[in-house]
Amino acid sequence: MNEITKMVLVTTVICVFAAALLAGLKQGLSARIARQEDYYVRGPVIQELLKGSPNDPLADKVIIELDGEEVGVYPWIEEGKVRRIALERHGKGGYGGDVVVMTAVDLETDRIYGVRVTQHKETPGVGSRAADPVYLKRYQKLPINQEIRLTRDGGQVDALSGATRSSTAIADGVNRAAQFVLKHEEEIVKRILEKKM
Amino acid sequence: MRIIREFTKGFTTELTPFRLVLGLCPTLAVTTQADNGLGMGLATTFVLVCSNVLVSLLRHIIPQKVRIACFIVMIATFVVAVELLMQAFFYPLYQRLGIFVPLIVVNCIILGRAEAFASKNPVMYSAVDGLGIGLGFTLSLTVLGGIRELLGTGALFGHPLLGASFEPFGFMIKAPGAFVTLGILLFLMNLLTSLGRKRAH
Repeated sequence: MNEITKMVLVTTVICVFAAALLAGLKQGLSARIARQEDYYVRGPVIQELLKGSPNDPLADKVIIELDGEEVGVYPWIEEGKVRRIALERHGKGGYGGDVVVMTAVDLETDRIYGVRVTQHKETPGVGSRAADPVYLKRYQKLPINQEIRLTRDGGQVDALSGATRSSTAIADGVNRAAQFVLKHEEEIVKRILEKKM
Repeated sequence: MRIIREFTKGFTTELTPFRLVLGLCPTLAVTTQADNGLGMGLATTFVLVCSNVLVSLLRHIIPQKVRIACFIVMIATFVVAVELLMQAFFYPLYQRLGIFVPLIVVNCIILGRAEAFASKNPVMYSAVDGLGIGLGFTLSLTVLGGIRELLGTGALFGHPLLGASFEPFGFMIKAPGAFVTLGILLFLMNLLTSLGRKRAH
């Protein structure tokens, strides 16, 4: 076998094995990693957002597959009714990639109940200020039946000055959550109660 | 015995951060607490042992000209595996070490051992070499982290030791504290060696 063929062959075989190993490992561990993320990343955020819920929103989480994506929904169940739900969506257009936003929606009033940022790679001290819960209070009580946008894009929420792109990504994440709930509310409530039964 | 020598050199003549001054990026960056240092060290040790064994196993198969590329692919594979395992089983440690876990790929200790040792030696010696060097690295990071944590917060492995009257040096757990501690430790190590050499004369 000539030298160049051997070089290509060996490198390819090693790469194929490496890819197969990692794909297998990722597949095998993904459920466990998701549970750990729930516990350590989303858990504290959910507890803050849905503080006072009589049930445990993490234990009652349902994964809903709609429009070809999987969305984890954390419910607040009271007297056999789903009163509030929280769900995580990726907001596009951040300075350092997606900003992952957890949005809680009040299903009785169809308004935003609260917003928190769970993961972001925005510049510390600049874009990261938009992830501050005090700023995120501006989203509270916004109705979900209209598009949620920044005022500069014709919406209702002021951007945080100096952190326009991070604010845009957050608004996008909240809007995606709101539109998802608006479109699939009945289906989501049905699945949550089915699991609870 | 050669095998014992290959193991102990990782703690003596080839103690990586202090003797060879290699792998300084994680050494300086993650050693704000003793248990961060320990976790980082053990993750590196795992990658080092696995990559040494595999490189040694394949040392007659991999062509000379593409060896570095092949080594890097293998090392990167083990690093991603460690990252996934850490996410699945030690999530808080993964959160604290952050970007420094994927950066184990470019830790020159690992490529250095693959190139300088494992690609020329049998599997058994390579495994022992990786284990020795890795545990020496772990020990160094834990000691450095322990000193910084003790002086910077008054605790060790998260347990308060120095009592409430101790005023912590916040400086020690910030970045400059890492350089100062590393400098002092290097100074002490060199002092000890030169004293030892004088006595031998």
